[in-house]
Amino acid sequence: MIPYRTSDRLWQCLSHRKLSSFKSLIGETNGNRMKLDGYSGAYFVVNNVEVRSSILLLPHTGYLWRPQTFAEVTPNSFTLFRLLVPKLDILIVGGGSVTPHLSEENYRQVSSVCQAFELLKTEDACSLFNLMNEEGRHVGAALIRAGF
Amino acid sequence: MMASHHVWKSMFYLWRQPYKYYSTTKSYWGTQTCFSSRRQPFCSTSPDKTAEQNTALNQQKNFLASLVEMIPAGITAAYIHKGHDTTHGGGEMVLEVPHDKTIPVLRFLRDHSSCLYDCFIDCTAADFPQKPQRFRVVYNLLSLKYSSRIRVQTHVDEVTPIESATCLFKGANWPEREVWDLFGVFFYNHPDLRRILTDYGFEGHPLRKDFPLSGYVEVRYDDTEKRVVIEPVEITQEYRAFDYTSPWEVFPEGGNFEEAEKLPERV
Repeated sequence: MIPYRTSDRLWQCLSHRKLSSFKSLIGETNGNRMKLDGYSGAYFVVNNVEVRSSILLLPHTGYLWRPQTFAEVTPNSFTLFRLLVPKLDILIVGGGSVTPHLSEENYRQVSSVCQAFELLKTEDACSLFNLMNEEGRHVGAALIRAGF
Repeated sequence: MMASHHVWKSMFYLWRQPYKYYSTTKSYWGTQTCFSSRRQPFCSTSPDKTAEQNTALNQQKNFLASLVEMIPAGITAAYIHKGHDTTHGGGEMVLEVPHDKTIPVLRFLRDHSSCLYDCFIDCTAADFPQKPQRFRVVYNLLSLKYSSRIRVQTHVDEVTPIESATCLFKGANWPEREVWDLFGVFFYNHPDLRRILTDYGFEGHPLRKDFPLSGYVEVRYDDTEKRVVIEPVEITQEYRAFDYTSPWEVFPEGGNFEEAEKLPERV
């Protein structure tokens, strides 16, 4: 089934707003859930809002994330997920153009803040986040852009 | 325009080559050796050969010997495994290859005119935890030209990566993903090395011999929370008190022997 007419889709692609301030993203449109509508190497389109930064996504909200390359990621970068009760079922980590490799302390931190985590390229991570969030699972994502 | 460019390129390439290379289309005139439309199988029998040469086993032996002669650096051992189906007199040809030489050997087997193993059947692995190089990665190839099969084996440990065969066989993509997922053998130069069979966020490689049979996590649907819950595995068992001081079997519980000795009613 095709969800919308092609012209609608085209309009949606062209008409996303740009995120102008450092406010958190809130899923207002599709059932109060976050959805990644698009990703190029340079920006994400989250709920029709263009975001030119790394992002942290939760089922219902999203935040900008400070590390812009995967080398800048420290254990403190994941402290947001520690605040969540219950823990995330799955944390999806998108490491840009390559499948990331976690250092020892990052690994310990990530495995303590969630039940399971998944290291992927960002393009694969986006689709996986959408899929699991539509299913209604308690999923989070930490995504870094591939190149900008 | 592109076509003429190509012609010039090929003419420069052929310049001052021996004359036989000048004709761009290969002529088969006078070179035909086989007049039947059937292709020659690998283990063909012919009346010109002796009875011993005609057995498939001997032909396989000769073939392996020639392979070892042609690629001595790439083959550490070659043997014929006696398979379950030996009615035709042959076995299964196996090549042992060092882990960094798989791609050259596979390329040779695919491209050399006396091999032509151009059909990629499978790539799997096996785990032998007692060995230092614990994983045996196996490539099965089929030559449709000579109707022959060959197996190429390498041995790696957990941290040694081997090169992906996807540069030679596109069909190696998913089998190698499976080997990565279930055994944890890393393939470099693989275009898309992700998990393929296990769940998202799954930890460990379940076909390793040291992976516990019950796994690490269990997944269930929680009716009160209305969602799928992932928890560390918990094996429940009824409480049993073992009385090791008594030599007798203490059964049934509570010493209720009269109840227990009653025969069950026959229907």
